[in-house]
Amino acid sequence: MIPVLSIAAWSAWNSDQGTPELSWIPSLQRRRLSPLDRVACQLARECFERAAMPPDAPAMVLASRLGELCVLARILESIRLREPVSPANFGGSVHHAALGHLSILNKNRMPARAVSAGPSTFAAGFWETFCMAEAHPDAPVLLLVVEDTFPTPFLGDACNFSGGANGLGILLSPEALSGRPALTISVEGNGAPASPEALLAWLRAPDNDLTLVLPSGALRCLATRP
Amino acid sequence: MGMPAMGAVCALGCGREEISRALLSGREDFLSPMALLCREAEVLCGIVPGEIPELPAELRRFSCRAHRLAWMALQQILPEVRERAERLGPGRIGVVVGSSTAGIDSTEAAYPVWKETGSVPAGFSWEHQHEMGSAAGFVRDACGVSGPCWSLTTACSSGAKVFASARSLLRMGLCDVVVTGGVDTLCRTTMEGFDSLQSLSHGRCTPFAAGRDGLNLGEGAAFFLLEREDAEVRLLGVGESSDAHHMNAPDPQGRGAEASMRAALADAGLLPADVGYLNLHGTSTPLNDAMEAQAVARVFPDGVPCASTKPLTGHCLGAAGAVEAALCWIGLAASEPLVPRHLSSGVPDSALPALRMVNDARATLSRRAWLSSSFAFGGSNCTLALGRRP
Repeated sequence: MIPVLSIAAWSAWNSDQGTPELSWIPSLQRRRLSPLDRVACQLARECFERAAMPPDAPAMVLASRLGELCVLARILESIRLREPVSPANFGGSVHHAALGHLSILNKNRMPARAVSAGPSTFAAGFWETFCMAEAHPDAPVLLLVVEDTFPTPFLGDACNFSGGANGLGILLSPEALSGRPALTISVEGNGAPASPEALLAWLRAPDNDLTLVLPSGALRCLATRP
Repeated sequence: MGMPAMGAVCALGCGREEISRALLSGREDFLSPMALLCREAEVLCGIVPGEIPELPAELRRFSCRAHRLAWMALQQILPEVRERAERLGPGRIGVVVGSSTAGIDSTEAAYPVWKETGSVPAGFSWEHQHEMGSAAGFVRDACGVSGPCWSLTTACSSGAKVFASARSLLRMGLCDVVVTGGVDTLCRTTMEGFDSLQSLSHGRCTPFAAGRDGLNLGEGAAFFLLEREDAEVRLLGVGESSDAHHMNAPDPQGRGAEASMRAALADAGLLPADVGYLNLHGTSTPLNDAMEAQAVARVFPDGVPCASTKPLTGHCLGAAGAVEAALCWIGLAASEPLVPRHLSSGVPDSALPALRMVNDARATLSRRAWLSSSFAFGGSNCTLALGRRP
């Protein structure tokens, strides 16, 4: 069975807004957060507040193409200079670091998974979110799609991000919530390409429920009547 | 869920036959010395023996150590993958691959050149070699399939968590077959990183022994076909949990590890008494083994035959869950008793609850259900339950 999930809350962070301040996090812990982690924590906080949901309730999925590449670069620089690697950088360089921080900050012991899939990373976030919901049918799922910038010459033209850390958070509930749109996935059907922009437009003005169609590789939006 | 085919490569060798022979050989010398970079010392590592073959021309853009190791393991299951792709269509076959560093060796070589010259060396492609998603992208292209495809990357639990995602793709009817598993290689980043945490052993690691002084790193790849159709070896259940404790250290009481094992048992509908063997995470760091021994003692108050295979393979990080699932698969599929045994030359740590270690690779154990645990940075835990068809 493919779950049908209600959008309990969502939140977006644009790099124009700078880096989130996160004043509610103790400074000792805040210092360890990369810009990517900060955006993830901000999005999660806003989603929990808007949905009035305890932050230890949901399972979590993080989708990011580059992940903590900026932190990894500090390790690569240490190695280049044959200097000892910083233990904090090493721990913070793992792709799912933001999930670790969120789990610790929120005392959240639910399962959490991080994914990456090149240009299909956005789609993979939704695939994994529905896998998580399938495996844990009673739990809400928080999806965080986050990205930070890295100098393009190193990554090549295929992966051209600029501007700084940004992201989208969607908190999905397995219960039908009145007045909230529903989201599901399907392998069949046609629709417009499900770009982050298209999904944001739908989140801002959800006339219909939405089916994300995933034929091979791509992800497309299909509006369906509630 | 059936697991009809398995391919693996690690320090024990390449493929089911070689790995089985190594497990039964009684040999204890599978780890080899490698030099650290930032201080003058050598550490023992589980290096894949022999030559790592180059990729075929049509896949050459992916060439890096990780994808070449993946190719060694994948070739072992390609006939089964191709048969299903022809029968069901390539779009019905998904790919979920666990890795923590993908082809990082390419970036480790390219980064200093880029810093010093402003351009990357010829042949370097971040997108195809090091990008985390390339671990899954390579497997998809190498298998010629086109279903949903992504890399799952939660450090040392990656290669176990993939089974949860793969199974959900099958249960939701989004795929008919999923190629799943994990890959990671020895690299400077993890060697120097674990050294910075003072987590590397001075010799061969001695899990759960008194005076254990850390882990040996390893490398490997293991891939499985997972499908709804039953097979001799089955995936019975998956358990996941988060510690919510610390980025680099496990919960000292092992509550996350305990929750992960209990969740796997509940998911598989098993009682502790049904479990014939437990492949421990058993890294041999003082903290991991202390918390894991307590967790195992609470979940299995009557004891359970168990082993850490880290002294045989090294800790394969993002591939560990898949490589250790492969060792279990080999034991479960074997015609004669074959157990991925515990190898620890030390004296058991008397401060920890005593565990029933299996030292004999030919021990006869119930094969109804075997568990394998993997725990990671950020308190990310996963336990798999595999079993043999009665």
